[in-house]
Amino acid sequence: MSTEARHGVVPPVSGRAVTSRVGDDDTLSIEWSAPTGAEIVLRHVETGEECGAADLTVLAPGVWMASCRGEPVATDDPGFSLDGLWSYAETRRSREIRAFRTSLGTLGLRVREVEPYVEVIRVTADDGVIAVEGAVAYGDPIRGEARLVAVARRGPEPVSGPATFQGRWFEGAIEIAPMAEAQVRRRVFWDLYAEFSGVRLPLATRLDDITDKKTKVRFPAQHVGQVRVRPYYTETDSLAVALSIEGEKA
Amino acid sequence: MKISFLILNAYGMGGTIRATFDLATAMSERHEVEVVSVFQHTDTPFLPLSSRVRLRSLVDLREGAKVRWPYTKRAERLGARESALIHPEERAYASFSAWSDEVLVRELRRLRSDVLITTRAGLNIMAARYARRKVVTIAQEHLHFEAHQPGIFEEIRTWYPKLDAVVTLTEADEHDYRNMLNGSPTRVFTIGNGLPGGPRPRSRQENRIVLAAGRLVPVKGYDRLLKAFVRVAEERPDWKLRIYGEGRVGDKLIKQAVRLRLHNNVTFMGPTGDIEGELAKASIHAVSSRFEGFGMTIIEAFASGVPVVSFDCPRGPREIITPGIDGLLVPADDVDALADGLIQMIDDEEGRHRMAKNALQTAQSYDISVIAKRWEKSFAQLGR
Repeated sequence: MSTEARHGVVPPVSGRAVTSRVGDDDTLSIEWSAPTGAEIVLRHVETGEECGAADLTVLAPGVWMASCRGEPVATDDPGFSLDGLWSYAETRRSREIRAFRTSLGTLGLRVREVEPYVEVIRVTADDGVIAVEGAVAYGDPIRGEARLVAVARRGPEPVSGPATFQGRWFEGAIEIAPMAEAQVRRRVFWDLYAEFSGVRLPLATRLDDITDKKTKVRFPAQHVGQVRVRPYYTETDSLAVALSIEGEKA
Repeated sequence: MKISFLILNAYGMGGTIRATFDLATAMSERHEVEVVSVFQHTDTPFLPLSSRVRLRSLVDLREGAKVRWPYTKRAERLGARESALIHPEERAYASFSAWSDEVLVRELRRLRSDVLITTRAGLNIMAARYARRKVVTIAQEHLHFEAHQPGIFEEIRTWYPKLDAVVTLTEADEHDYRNMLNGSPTRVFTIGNGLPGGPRPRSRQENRIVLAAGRLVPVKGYDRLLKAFVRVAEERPDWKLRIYGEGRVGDKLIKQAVRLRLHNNVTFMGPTGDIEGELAKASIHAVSSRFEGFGMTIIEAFASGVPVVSFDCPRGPREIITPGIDGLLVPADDVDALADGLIQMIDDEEGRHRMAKNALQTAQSYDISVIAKRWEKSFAQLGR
């Protein structure tokens, strides 16, 4: 909340949301500090389109700001629960709707189109191996042998290592030596996938509120001869691996 | 009443700036208030300041900034020379120059406010030396007493008796300054930093997140927090540590975290303008400082319903935290004890909820309206 708002320069809104969340059933539930009969209006930040909050499934992708009686809905809910995001992602969906609190203390909804992927929980990069643990998000549970596949964006053929799906849980590991041996240019980027029955699910970390993981998360680097191998997050928070000839900046 | 705050650089981010802005904002409801920033390096301040408060700067460091005629050449020449009036042991010495000396002296000799509040040792000494006699001079100390090097401490001892008052953040500091100022008419008050009022987002204690916040500098002890978190991550692998802020040891800390294989559990979040929103997402606030002049983030955490696990370092934490009630104090500099404290707080879910509730209570006594009134009371005692 801004100092102006705190000190009453901005007129106080009619009632504050104590809790404001989108549930697993895609409904927005708001618990107010004082009873309010007024209806919530959602406004698309880019297009200006307005609609009610009764049916969130009709919302176009993008950010929607909530208002009530013409004023932004102020909320004391940090709008963020890791467990909530996990439980929400356990259902097969093509669209994700999240409530969030803006830095000004108002309520917004973010709508995104989603496809099944593996949410990465843990990455280990030691002993010549990159190992990944994760869980299926927005897709159905899978059970059986799988592969952890690395696909170079340009150049070498894909390489893979053993993996398994046990329901939602995924575990896989890939040796870095075959990737490094295929190094033909100064720098090669590999995207990682969990492959099962010919279908490749991307690996990514998205069930949190951390933006710009590319710059915020740094994984350990390993070396194969002169090639440095380091996992990293791409701009879409997908997990990838950068291989670069030592001495060059990755 | 006209009140002027003098601050090193109002355009950056940090505890002193935030505290000054919040206090200036609260006082501006009843007084004419201005914040005078010695330096300015960007167009607008990073932290929020009420539009009722006038903000101006003395030395413009922005690219392309021109000093007006007839001072242009002089500013260039003096700007390249070291400060002769600020003691080299003042922590911000490198920021000052012979030009900033000249501008500061001119400003202080001209300033006709009723009260001048200066916010760091170098500026406190300048106010003692150059402010007009009619101006009530109040020096605020955001560093703790023993943090000053011997050389600048001698200057403090020489010049602070010329001030009307010294305001400390902790009672421990008040005690030390009283001893130092013994025999001089300078008054000493303890007034902690205030917390802006109004509604705040509140932690539900639902996320397995430990938060630390502050500049990434050695005094904050994040190197030790990382070491402590190795054990937390081993024993409670689903708990994460988020460190907010930036600073000169940022890269070193990131490398340390990689070396300690903390990449799955620790994220360096960068700076945020919405620390209360981030606190409310967390369940525990960790303070690993080597010393804390006060510990504003502890109050902020309390106000968001987040209990604190802190080193019992000098001087703020032990005056704010009541162990077992709204947080835990662990022996200073003891990494294992910090890990134990964090794990204890993590495991005691019921206790955490209880402490979170108590923390909200504690925070109320630091409400900015309460703090501003205490300042005004001190003005009344110092009035000419």
